[in-house]
This record gives sequence, C-alpha cells and structure tokens, in this order.
Amino acid sequence: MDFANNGFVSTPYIYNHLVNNAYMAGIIDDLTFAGKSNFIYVLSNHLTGARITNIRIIGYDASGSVITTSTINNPHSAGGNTYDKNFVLIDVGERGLDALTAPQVTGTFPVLNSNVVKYEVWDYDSNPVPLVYIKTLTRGCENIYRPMIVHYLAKNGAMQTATFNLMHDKKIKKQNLQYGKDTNFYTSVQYAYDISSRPMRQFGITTQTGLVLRTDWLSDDQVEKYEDLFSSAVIFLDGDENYPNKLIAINCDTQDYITIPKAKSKLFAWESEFSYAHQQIRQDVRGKLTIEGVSVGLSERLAVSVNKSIADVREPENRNCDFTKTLKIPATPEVNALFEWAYDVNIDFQSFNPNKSTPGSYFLNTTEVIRGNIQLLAIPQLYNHGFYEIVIRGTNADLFIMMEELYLTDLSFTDLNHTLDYTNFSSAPTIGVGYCYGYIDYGMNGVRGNTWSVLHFKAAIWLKEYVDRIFTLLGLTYTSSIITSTFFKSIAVPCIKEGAYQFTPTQINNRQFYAKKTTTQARNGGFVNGRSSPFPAGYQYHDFTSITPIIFNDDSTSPLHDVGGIYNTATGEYTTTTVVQSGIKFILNYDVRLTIPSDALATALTFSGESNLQICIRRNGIVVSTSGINAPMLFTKSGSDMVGSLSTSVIYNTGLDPIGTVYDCCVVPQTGAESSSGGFITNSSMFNGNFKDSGGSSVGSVLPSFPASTYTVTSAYFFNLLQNQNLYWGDTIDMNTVVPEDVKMLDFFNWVVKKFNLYIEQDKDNPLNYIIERRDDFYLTSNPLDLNPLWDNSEDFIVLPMGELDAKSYLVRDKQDADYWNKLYQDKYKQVYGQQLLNIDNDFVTGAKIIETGFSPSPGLLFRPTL
Amino acid sequence: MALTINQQPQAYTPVFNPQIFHVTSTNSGAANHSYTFVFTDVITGITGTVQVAKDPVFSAGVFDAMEKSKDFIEYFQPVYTGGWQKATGSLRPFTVNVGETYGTTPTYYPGSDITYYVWSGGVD
Repeated sequence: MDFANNGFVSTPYIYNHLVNNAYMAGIIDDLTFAGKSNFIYVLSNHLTGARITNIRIIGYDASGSVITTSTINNPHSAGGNTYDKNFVLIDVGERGLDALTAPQVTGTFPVLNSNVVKYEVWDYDSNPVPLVYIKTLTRGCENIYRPMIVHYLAKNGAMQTATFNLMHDKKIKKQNLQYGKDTNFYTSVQYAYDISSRPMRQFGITTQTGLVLRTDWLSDDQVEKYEDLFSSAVIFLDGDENYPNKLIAINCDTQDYITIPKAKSKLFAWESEFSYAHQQIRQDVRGKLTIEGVSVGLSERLAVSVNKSIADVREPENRNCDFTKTLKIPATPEVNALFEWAYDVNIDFQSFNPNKSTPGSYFLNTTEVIRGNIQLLAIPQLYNHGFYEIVIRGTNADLFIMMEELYLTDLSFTDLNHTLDYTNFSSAPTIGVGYCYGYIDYGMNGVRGNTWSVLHFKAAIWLKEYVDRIFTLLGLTYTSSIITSTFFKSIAVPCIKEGAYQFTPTQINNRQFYAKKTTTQARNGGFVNGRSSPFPAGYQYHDFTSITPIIFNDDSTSPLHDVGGIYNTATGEYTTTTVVQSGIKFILNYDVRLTIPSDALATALTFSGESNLQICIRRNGIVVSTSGINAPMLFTKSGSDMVGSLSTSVIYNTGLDPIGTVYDCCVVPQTGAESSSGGFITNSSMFNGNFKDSGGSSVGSVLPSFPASTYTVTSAYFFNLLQNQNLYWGDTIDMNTVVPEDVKMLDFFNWVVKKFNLYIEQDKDNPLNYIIERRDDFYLTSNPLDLNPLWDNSEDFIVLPMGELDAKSYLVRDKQDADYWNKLYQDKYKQVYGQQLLNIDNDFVTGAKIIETGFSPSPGLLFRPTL
Repeated sequence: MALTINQQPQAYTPVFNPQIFHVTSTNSGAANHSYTFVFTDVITGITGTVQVAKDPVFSAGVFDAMEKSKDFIEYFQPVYTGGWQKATGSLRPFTVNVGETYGTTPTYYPGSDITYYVWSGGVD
C-alpha cells in the first residue's frame, strides 16, 4: 500500500468485462480429480462495473479435438444494482461440473464425459469480447496415492485451490487421561483382587490427525500460490476417507519450508505439515465458556472440581465466594465485539461496562457446571491477536457484592410504623416477624430506675426481619433451617440510639410552619384633637379599637413552609395536630400614614410622637404573650401625609400543648400606656404626639376634625420551632429510626454469619436461592456421600494431624460497648458480656485468635445484685 | 463546512488493508475538541464510537477502521453445489460517520456518513 499516493488501488482485483477481466482466484492451470473442487472467484464493483455473466467449458479428448461445449450462466449477474451479488464463485473442478443440472448449463450436458481429458474455462460474454480465456484443468490420473486437495483463504480474499498429488503421510496423535480405582473387594472369607478389574482406568482419550502433504514439481507461479497457502489463516482439506464430501478444517503446522530444486531445472517441490483443527474424542468431555450467551475460545480447560472451595471454618469473614478462576480468552472477532473493542483506549462503550460484571457460564458438554460473573481484568495490546484476561467468579459472590454498597438504612421498615401507645407496646409479638418491645434500660427512667413508662420503651426489630428484608431487597431467597428456627426468630436487634424516640425530619417538618404576610393590611382611623383633660393642648391621638388577627397569607413560597398543613392562611390560625412543645414568634413591620388637615397644619413638617401599641400572640383567643412599644416615632411629610414606620416582634414558648390548641397574632393599642412626653393615652390610642413646623414648634394647638389616616402592615412573619423533638404518647413511630445508622449491610450480614458460624451455598437448581446452615447442620443433616468409589487413588494424598488448627485459643465474642450496663459489666468482669473462650490442648500451636462480630451485647441484669 | 475529510478508504477495500480516515476541522481550536468516528456494520447494525484526540501539529484526526471492520468479515466456506454461489458475508458495507465533539460542555456534532465495502482480502 502506498500511503503517499493516497492508499490502496483496487482496480487489479475488480472484475469489469468492459475494462479488466480480473479474477480473484483460480486462474492458474491445474489438475482436477474426481470428486474434487476447484474454485474461480470474481469480485465486481456494483458502483462502477458489470458482473460476469457466463463461463464456457470446452472439453477436449485425448487427440485434442473439442468434444464438448457448455455454457454456465451466472444468475447473480442480473437484477438490482446491489453489492451482495458482487462476490461470487463457481466450482469448476470435476465435482462442481458434475453437480450442474439444467437449466444452469446450456450446450453439452453433462459437462464432462469420460472422453474429456482436459477442459478449458472461458469467460463468455457477447460484448465486446465474446471469449476470454481463464484457465485449463487437466483431469488427473488415478494415482496409487489419494490426491489431496486443499482450499485456503488467499491474500486477495478468495478461496484458492492447491493440489498435493504425491504420497502423503497421515499420523494420529493420542492423549489420554487416566485415574486410579480401588478394585479390591470383600467377601465373607477374604479380601481380594480380581484380575479382570481395572485399577487404572481411562478418563478420556483424544486423538488428533496430522498430515504431511507433498506436491509434484511446481513452476514459479505455482510456488507463489503455495507460499500464500503457507501463511493462510483459513484452510480446508477437500474431504478424506471418512468425510469425502466435507471441507475439513485444518491448520498448517509448518513454521518454515524449503523449496527443493529439481536438478537442472527451475521447478520446485513443496512439502508441509498440517493437522486437523478438531480432535477425535473418546470418553472425554468438552469445555465451553459462554459470556452473555456468546461462546468464546478458551486457552485452557477449567479445572472445575479443584477450584470449588469449601467454606473455611477458620476464616468466616472470608466466606464470600466459592470459586474464582482467572482465564485468558483469545481476542477473536466475536469477543472483540462482545467487549466492544476495549483494547481501543478511544472507544466509547455503548452497552458493555468494564466496571460491571457480565454473566457467563462454563459448560462441560451440554451441562452448565459453573454459572458466574465475568470481570474483564486485562485487554490485549494488539487488536488482531493476543488474549483478554478475565476472571470468572461464582455467583455466591453476588450475594456479598450486591450488599457491598448498601447500608441497613437502605432497608425500609415503614410498614412497621405504629402508634406510641400502651396497646402496641403490650401486645404479644409474633417472634421473627416485625418488632417487639423488651425491658431494655435506655436511661430514661433514671439509671437502674424501677418505674417504667411506656415512653421508656423502644421497639426492637427481629433479626430474622432484617435478614428477610435484605434478601428481598436483593431479589434473592434463602433456604435455612437455622434462620427459620425458633431460636433464631427469637433474637431481636434493639434500637441502639439513646434516649426517647426522636421525630424524624419529616415529622419535624410536619410540626413546624413558617408563614409571612406579603399583602398590606390597612386600618383606617382618624385623629381627634386632644380630648378632655389631662391631655395637654396640641396632642392628638389615633383611634384604633378593633382587634383582628393578622392574616399571614403565604406559607408555601420558599423558604416559607407548612408541610403538615398546621397553619391556616385564611383564618391566620396555627393549630396543633399532635402533642407538641415549641417556641412561637411573631415579627411585625408596619407603616403609618397620617393625612394632614391642609387648612390647619399647612406649616407642619413633622409629626413627632411615640407609638403606643403592643403586638400579641393569643392561645385559644387569650393573649399569652405581648410586646409593647413606647418608642419615639418621627413622621416626615410626604405630600399631604406624614409617614413613619416601625418593626417589632414577640416570642412565646409553649408547654406541651394538646392536640387542637390554636394560636394567632394581633396588634392592639397598648392598654394604659403613658406617653413619655407627658401625655396620657387612652385604651384606643396607638400613636400620640404633635405636629411641628420647620422650627420645631408645635402647630395647631386647636385642631379641627381630621380626615382618615391609615395604619398599614407591610410585612409580618409568624412561625414556630420545636423545642422538644421527643415523640410523645400518640405519635407515630417511624421504624426506620430504629435501624442502626452507618452500618453496611455486608458487615451486618457477615456478623450474622460469624455469630452463628453459617455456611452459605448457592442453590444449584436456583441461582437466586441460597442455602444457609450452621456448620454442624451443613455437614450432618445432608445425605452423606461415600467418596471412596470416586477417589482417584493414583494421586498422592496427605493426612495432616489437626491441619486446620491455627491458634492455641479461640475467643468468640460480640463487640464491647460503652453504654452504662456494658461498661459496668466489662469493668467488673474484664470481659465482654457473653464471650466464649476455647483453649486447645496442643503443645505446638501458639497464638490466640479472636473472632468478633459487630453486634454489642445487651447484658442481662442478673449480675446486677452482685455489684 | 467545518469538517474536511482529506482521506478515506476506496469504495472497495480489502478488509485487512488500512482503512484510513484523515479529517481536519475549522472547529479544532474549540474547547475540548476531539474527532468522533461512529462506525457501523450495515448488515448487523452493530455500531461503536471512537473519540480521537486531534493531532498536536496539524489538528487532524486519524482513524483506521480496519481494526473494527475486520471483526465483522466472514470467510465464506464454499458448499458443494453446482453453479454460481454468492460469497455471503465476505463482502459487506461498512459505514463511518466522521463527526466531532467540542464545547465547554462537550457536545457531539455528527458529520457525513461514508459507506464503503470491505471484502475478505489482505492484499496491498
């Protein structure tokens, strides 16, 4: 290929009868034999050229006379201008011509008769050249040796034919696998051996056929063809004595070859070794690996039985997978497509994800013996050869891998939510199902207190409930006599949080509101000149007598909220829906606009006075908290009005309010307040003062009646914050709050495995089901199998005395904790409550081994009297 | 025209020959620029996407589709029957869309579909 001139030129390979009669293969004169093929390939370009239409076979007798003329039409030359008809072939060997039937052929039929000793193949097209010679085939003599015909994928992409007509060698290589068998037997009087028994037996025998093929003397151009065969990746043998009408896949084993010159000649002979691509099998089984249903090649056979491991009694924490196996699989086209050309660092994966496991199976014959997950470990560096390195992992690991990123809090227990009351506390639980209440001292009644309230108890979820929900979440099931036993079902996992139940964030949100008044709310009033004594002359007051709740119209625009619907934007009332204790706050911002009588106060520029009002929080209509203001206020002139503003707030801390308690807010005059400037304010006065001119002198000692003035709330807020987040009698317990936080599901399950010494096996009949048993049950309740008849006694075996013993002492315990009772017990006895120490009577092994769960004990208080 | 395809395989190309696409773009100076080649085996519809960083000197993108197309080619095994046969699967169309990806938030912009035909040869 010439990159400098923009690459490959395909013209020499493309047939176009108008321009270039190029044939992909089969243009060299050759021998042909009865029952053997010889192919001609033609590649056309449907975009630019015509296809081959006919070939003509002209047969000659021994004297050289034409005795047959036959034309074979190419049915794919006609029709639409599509690419799929452009790569065609025809068998012009004796087998192919003998197989022709009418109307495929016109003229002489059958094409070859017994008198034809050779025949020519012509490209027969009427325009512009009627006949173009292709090749001559000479019918080979019947050798004393069977001629061997080989078809191979040539460099140009066609199946080329090569003839080996000299004596060939055939050899068969055998490989056998055998095992030993104990054939001794008992009778009532003897222990003996039968000479006809077979102590060494054949497990499997495979054979592979090899060939050494030899050519006759070859010309230079023929040698070039055989060199092409030497390096071809696809080779077929044209039948053998067992399969005379089959293309048998073979491989060229010769790694180098030597051309042998004939003396005083330019001819060469060619010899090479081949082997059948398949093996003949006796009593053997064949392995096959499939990944996502695609059968892939294997560089080795899996030793399934060897790698299947039994759970290790010494290291229960490592019981997470019953087998793994690292394999290399060849980077075949189908595997490249399966892994989406992962060797290309620039590739964007479409569906394959190297971070995710891919299902795979290993078959022995048709039996699936391993079902696991495939992980791609390494990819080949070269795109057209090399191996992918993968690991196949037993799906036992799935159980643990699926848990790996999950926490106990990923389980939902909301269906177990219940009301905190005596009924639920005192009802008899069903062991293993849901939750229960027990006498566990959470320190709420005083440590070691003797008086217990319902509020002092907290629910505990059964351990089996946890296990069930873990398996349900993972889409798995289990079969276990231990987990379904009364013993296991009677174990509960207490709430480990100290103190009373706490509201959840949702419950808190449902009990808190935050409302705002975003609309103005005006009150009209009027100034009345100083009333009767003791008001000094020049003092005015503003009438405001009605007491109406402030309406906070918005409780939904963020950050405002009222998730629980406890505030009413129509009535301005907050109503408790549960027993709750909170702090309530009311914030008020208001403007006051006083309309100036134009005639009498024309020279007034300010109104200097004081506010005399109070804002209130009312509980069930009764004022429970007020905030009064006697603050100086300076109103400034704005057009014909005097304008001023103030802000204030009031807080009320509630007790434990019962359900249905109503709170609202209002603004009222400050009852009986006295002006700091000496004026006396009546019950209805909210502002007092006097108008002043630019010099600060009071204006209008005697005032006429005033037009209406306005008092306007411009913004106000009303909200509550819980001061006590403990659940109270009648509240709903969110059972998700009982679940320990930050505990990984995998750790939790492993603690269960450790605590009960569980063995886990995947159900071979149902990969989604796991068989979980205690060690003793696992071994003792199964039907025992006598392995002696299956034992291959040709292999050595070793008996290790106490081979699994790796420590002098074993300490099994739960995790020590720092709560009051655990600490008390640990301080007194210097050990964790419930631990068990096992000392081994062995003089050689040293060291101590601690097997510890993540659970902490709940000490029984039977030890309490000893304190 | 943002993308210029300077070199592409011949309409009929042996599958084991290099099938080079050489492309340049007027957008090569944009942030996070890369060339995106989406290849498709037309018969099966299987597709894949390759992101190629631009050449540091010429800002060109080069993609050899041979690595992908050779995984789809079939070596037709002749059957013993008289007359003409089609070498099914040994000649197949292959499409490469030459596009680019760029932008602060990289966005893919597809380009032209180029369909050519590969056959089971390895000549050069």
